[in-house]
Amino acid sequence: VNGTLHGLRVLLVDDNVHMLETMSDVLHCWGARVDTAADVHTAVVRFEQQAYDAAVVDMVMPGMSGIELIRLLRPAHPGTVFVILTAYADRRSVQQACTDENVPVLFKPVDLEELLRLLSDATGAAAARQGGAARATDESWN
Amino acid sequence: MASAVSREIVPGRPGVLRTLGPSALLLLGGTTAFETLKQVVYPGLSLWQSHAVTIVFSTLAGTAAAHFLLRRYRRTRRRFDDEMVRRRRTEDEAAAIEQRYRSVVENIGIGVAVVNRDMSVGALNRHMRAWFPAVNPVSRPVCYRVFNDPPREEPCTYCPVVKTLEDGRVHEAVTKTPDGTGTRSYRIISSPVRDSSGRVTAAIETVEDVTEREQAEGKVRRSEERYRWITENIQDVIYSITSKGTIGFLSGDCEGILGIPAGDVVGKSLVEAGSTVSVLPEALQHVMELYGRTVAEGRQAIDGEVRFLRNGEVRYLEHKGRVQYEKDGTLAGSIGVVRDITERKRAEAELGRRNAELVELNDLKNQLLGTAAHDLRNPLSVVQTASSFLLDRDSKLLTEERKATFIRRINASSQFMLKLIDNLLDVARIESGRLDLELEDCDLCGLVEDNLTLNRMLAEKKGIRLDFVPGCGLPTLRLDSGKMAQVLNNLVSNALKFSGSGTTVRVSAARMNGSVVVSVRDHGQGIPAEELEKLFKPFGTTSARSTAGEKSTGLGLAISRKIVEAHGGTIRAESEVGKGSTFTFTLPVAAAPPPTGPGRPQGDGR
Repeated sequence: VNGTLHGLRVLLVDDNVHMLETMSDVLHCWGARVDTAADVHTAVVRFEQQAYDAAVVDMVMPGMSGIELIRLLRPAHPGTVFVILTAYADRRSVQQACTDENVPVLFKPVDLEELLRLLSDATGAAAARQGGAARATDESWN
Repeated sequence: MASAVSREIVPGRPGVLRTLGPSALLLLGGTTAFETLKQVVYPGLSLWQSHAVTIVFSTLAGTAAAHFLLRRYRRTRRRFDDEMVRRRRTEDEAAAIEQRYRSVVENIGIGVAVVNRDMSVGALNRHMRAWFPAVNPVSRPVCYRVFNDPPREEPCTYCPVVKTLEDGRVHEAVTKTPDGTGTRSYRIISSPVRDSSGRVTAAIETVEDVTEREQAEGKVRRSEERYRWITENIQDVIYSITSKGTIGFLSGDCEGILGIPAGDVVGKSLVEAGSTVSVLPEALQHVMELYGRTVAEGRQAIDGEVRFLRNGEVRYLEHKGRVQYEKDGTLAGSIGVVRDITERKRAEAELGRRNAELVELNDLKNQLLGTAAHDLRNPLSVVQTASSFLLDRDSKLLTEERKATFIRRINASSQFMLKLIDNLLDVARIESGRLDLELEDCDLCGLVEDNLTLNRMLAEKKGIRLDFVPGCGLPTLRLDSGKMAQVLNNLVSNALKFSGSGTTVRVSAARMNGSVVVSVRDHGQGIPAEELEKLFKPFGTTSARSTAGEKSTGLGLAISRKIVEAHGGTIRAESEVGKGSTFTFTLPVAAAPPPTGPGRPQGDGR
């Protein structure tokens, strides 16, 4: 598993510090470059500072829900893959909300293989994007 | 009748006078005329002439007298005959009347007997003879022997005949005689018979079988009693309205339901009655409209509810009525029942309110459960993720240091879960009213000091100064020291959780107006005013963030509030964003909560 997500830039957003750190370590082991945000405000600031290939966002946070945060960030960052993590017991309503927003959702405790699969897709997309961007750059130079 | 007969029978003397008087006058006149004739005429006549005149005169006078007397006789005779005819006719009529009376007495449907002064039976009518066929009045049997079975040797004590014979008045009695099937009742009326001097010579006894009548009367009386009992004892009012729109009949608990005696409104029109019983005008209007509409449409049932003001109190009446029509369809009136349903209405409202409360409580419980599950899932997720990662075959690539970090997180998360579960159980216990306080005399200052000692290490680690300002003269309080320590720990650890390095958390305790006031003040980030309200509710977490990532179960303040309130105290929070918060709770000095511990001895309040 190690190194599968090599070079992927991931932002973790969760108000639960233990969760944040654990997931950070896991993604790190998978080879991703991980940043963390313990609240919505920090997450927005991080996105202003740099672009991310993927963002794993907790659903329930003080001030703003994960879905609302994604709705806020997505227009400016169309290349980023967003994944919702939630501890909600009412799976159906969360599933519905995420389907409406076209965001994949994972329920806590997290199925790591599923998360890895979702983020691997993001890696592929990022590679393709980078390739495309390189080509575009080449063309511009030409 | 007797006087009429005597006047006709004795006209003798005036008749003789009327005959003899004129005869004497006639004789006297004739004689006088003859003497005058002799004196005046005779001297001029010869002897034979005078004889001839005498003869002629005498003949004329005699003839006239005879004629007069004959006429008189004839007239008298005719009168006598007429009298005789009239008398005979009268006697016949009297006989016929007597016969009719006799027939009536003989055939009347009640028994009639004549009882003489010596108590012998003088006569019986047919009815009486049918009852007593063996009694023969000819042998003058004694009444109490023959009219009783078995025969009596002396008159019955109640006998009205005896009384009538004694005092000459009418007397009445009812006797009951055993019969084959039951008891038969007879009413005896005794009336006196007097002779011409007014002396009571006998008594007429009428005997009537009144068994059926008594039974019928008893039935009617019982039915009336039953009806009266029902109408007087039912909780409803029964009424009737006449075709003219006036109240014809009003019965039942009129005073209890309408607040007025029935007599005040019976006979009045609905409008007049309405003003008497102060039916709310719109309610009365409603009733009148309903009534009018029902009649106009020719329907029968008028049912509805009326809001009603009785002695200034709003009552609700349920009304079930029926309009009655004659055969030709004209209005005959209406009848109805009015029932006071105020209590039912109140009970329904109360039930509705309680149901809403329960629904709300149930929603709250579900919400609580959902939140609890959510809050447990987070640390569980940490445990799961960290442990599965540690178990992964690639974990050998992890450094020992990183492995230790994972294990520390598992430990911390499971500790948090334990705390959350403990708190949830506390909340459940409190919500179900099973918060048992173990009260003991307690030094509050000592309790605060102990608590600060526990928290001082954490405070130093975060670079926070922890102060205690004990007020003077703090009394010994009766508290559950374990639970109160839980409250203090919650407030102090919260203050440390949200305070930054270099700030001060100050705990103070002071006596104020019969209460002890404990406050914990921090200089942390503060709580927005709109979030203060939900602070003491379960999972009522705020947007404030702990300064070192400490976690909250969201239940600590809710539990603290319940514990303080169980001690008869109050808890509140004041805060200003950017400046810090103050949590204050007060405990009454003299009060021990009534359901738990025994009361404090008197004079121990200091």
